[in-house]
Amino acid sequence: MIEITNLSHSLGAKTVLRKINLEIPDNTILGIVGINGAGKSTLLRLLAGVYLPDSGYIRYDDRSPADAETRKDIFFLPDDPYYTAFMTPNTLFDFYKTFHPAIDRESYDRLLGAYKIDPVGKVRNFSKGMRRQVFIALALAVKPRYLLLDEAFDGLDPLSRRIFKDAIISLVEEGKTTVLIASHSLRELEDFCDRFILIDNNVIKDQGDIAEHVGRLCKFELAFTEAVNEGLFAGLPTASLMIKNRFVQIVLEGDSDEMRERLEALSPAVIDEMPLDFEESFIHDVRKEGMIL
Amino acid sequence: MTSFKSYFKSHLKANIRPLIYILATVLVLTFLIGVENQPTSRYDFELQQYYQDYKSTLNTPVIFLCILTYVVPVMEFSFFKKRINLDCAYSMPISRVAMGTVHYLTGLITLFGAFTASYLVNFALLLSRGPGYFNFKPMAEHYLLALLLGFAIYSLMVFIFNEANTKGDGIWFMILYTFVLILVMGAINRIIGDYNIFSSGTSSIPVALIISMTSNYKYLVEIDSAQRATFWSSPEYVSWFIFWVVAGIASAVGFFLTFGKRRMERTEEISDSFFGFRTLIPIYAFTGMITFRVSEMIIFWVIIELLALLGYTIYRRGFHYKKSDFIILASLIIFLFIEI
Repeated sequence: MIEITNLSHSLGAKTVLRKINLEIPDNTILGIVGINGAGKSTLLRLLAGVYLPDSGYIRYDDRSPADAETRKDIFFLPDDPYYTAFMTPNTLFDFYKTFHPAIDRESYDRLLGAYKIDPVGKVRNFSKGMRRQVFIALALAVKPRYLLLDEAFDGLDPLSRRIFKDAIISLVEEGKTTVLIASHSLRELEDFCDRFILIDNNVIKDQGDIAEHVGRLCKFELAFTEAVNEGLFAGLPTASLMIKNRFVQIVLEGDSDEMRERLEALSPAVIDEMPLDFEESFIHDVRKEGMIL
Repeated sequence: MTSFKSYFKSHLKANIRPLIYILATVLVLTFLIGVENQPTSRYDFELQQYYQDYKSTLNTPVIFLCILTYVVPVMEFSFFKKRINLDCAYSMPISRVAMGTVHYLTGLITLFGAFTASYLVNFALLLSRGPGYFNFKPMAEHYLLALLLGFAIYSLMVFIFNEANTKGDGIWFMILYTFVLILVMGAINRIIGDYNIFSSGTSSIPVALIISMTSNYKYLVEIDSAQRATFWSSPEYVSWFIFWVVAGIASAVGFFLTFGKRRMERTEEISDSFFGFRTLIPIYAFTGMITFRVSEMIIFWVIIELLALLGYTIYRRGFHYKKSDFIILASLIIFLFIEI
């Protein structure tokens, strides 16, 4: 289990994380979400032992990531990973083997094959997506106990994303790996994360199960026989409201059946419940907190 | 320990190409300089006789040593000046001190390897000229002493370079440290009334001390040389030699004590170390002003004030001066008016 207690960290004069407390059970896929600059990458760097916390602590089963021994169980894939001008996927593998001697060559080759990556091509000549694929293959070949991923889906095509997700899910299902993944692509997190945390204003603003979180809101589209205005919806727990003459799109907080009944009481000509995904739910949350307009 | 060994091997393997390039360059140049060296006939007015000036070309390997004491720290430690590299390095299962030690030792191997190879080639060329021309015995002593000074300067430069948050600032620190003591010496000489301002200053430049030492050993190696002064008969040289060796050892200790404690998030930021611009700019400015403490040289004072301003501009990477910078600059102006 990963245990974060009263963790605070500043970058220069700017406080990035303040008194973070979190417990992450083993074999979990945790999505870390937040707007740009919220502190997602800082949290991952602290978890990886790259940054040393200003105060508070992180424990991996009572071990600190500041100890090199603990980091044998951790693989951190940053947003912009390291490689030199002469490195190829093969030499990168050798480099990582230096630190993770148990890295699985077969798994690495299989994933490179699935991604159609030339193992002797220069990494610097690869596209961003191809580079990302190489590092994902490395991360999965290491089979770490704790996998920390920062913007891991960036630059990946839909097929690569699917391969990646399946590989992560099978790692977790084998009961060996806990995955922490920070991403802007919330739609990508929705279908495979067990839990999420929302970081805002230096603290964890919200956390829990993604499906439950999304279920707190419901979205409807309505059509009226004549033009309507905002006043009609005044009594409702509105998260967002968009009116175009006779047509309305509304997101409400609460149980969808109850909200449908209350909307039907307004006598719309048509009422349809629309699916709401994690990204929309996140946007409503951050709007509510005044983080974005 | 396993990670240390395997990283050491991996790092050496990864750096074999630059190591080969350095060795090849040093060997080829040593060979060419050695082959080109021809004896010349000279007249000694004191002894009233001609003598053959057989150059021992002892300076060749030493000059390479001097250059490499600056180049190798930059080569080895530039890796730690980019955040993108540190994300990878610091998340690996190896301690930061162990990683720093690997780079330090690899640099030392490069430095000693290139110097030794160059020294051996030079020695072989001197030997090939036949017996009676050179006295080889002092060469072993010279080799070991040069190696010791090389280690000291390398350690000093490694420490200084690692006090900077960027590669560029690190290079500035190395340059500024090279000449800082000559200015301090100049200022001290001025204060105590010795107007021959740089009388004992050149050895305060560490690489200059190796060159001076080598010149003295050349006289011992070149049998027909008219001069027989030894390096160890000069108290100035001896005291500077001891000073630089102690400074080198202290720097190595300082490096190992501080390397593991460096905050990764300061990388690529302004280099605010006590051992950097923060201290060096005022030292340069004030010692410069004291050294040129005569009213006819007021133009130098204006230049020094402008250079200090330029220094702070480089330090702050633009015109974002801080209050402390203005205090130093204002103090310099006040100092100027007091002197006038």
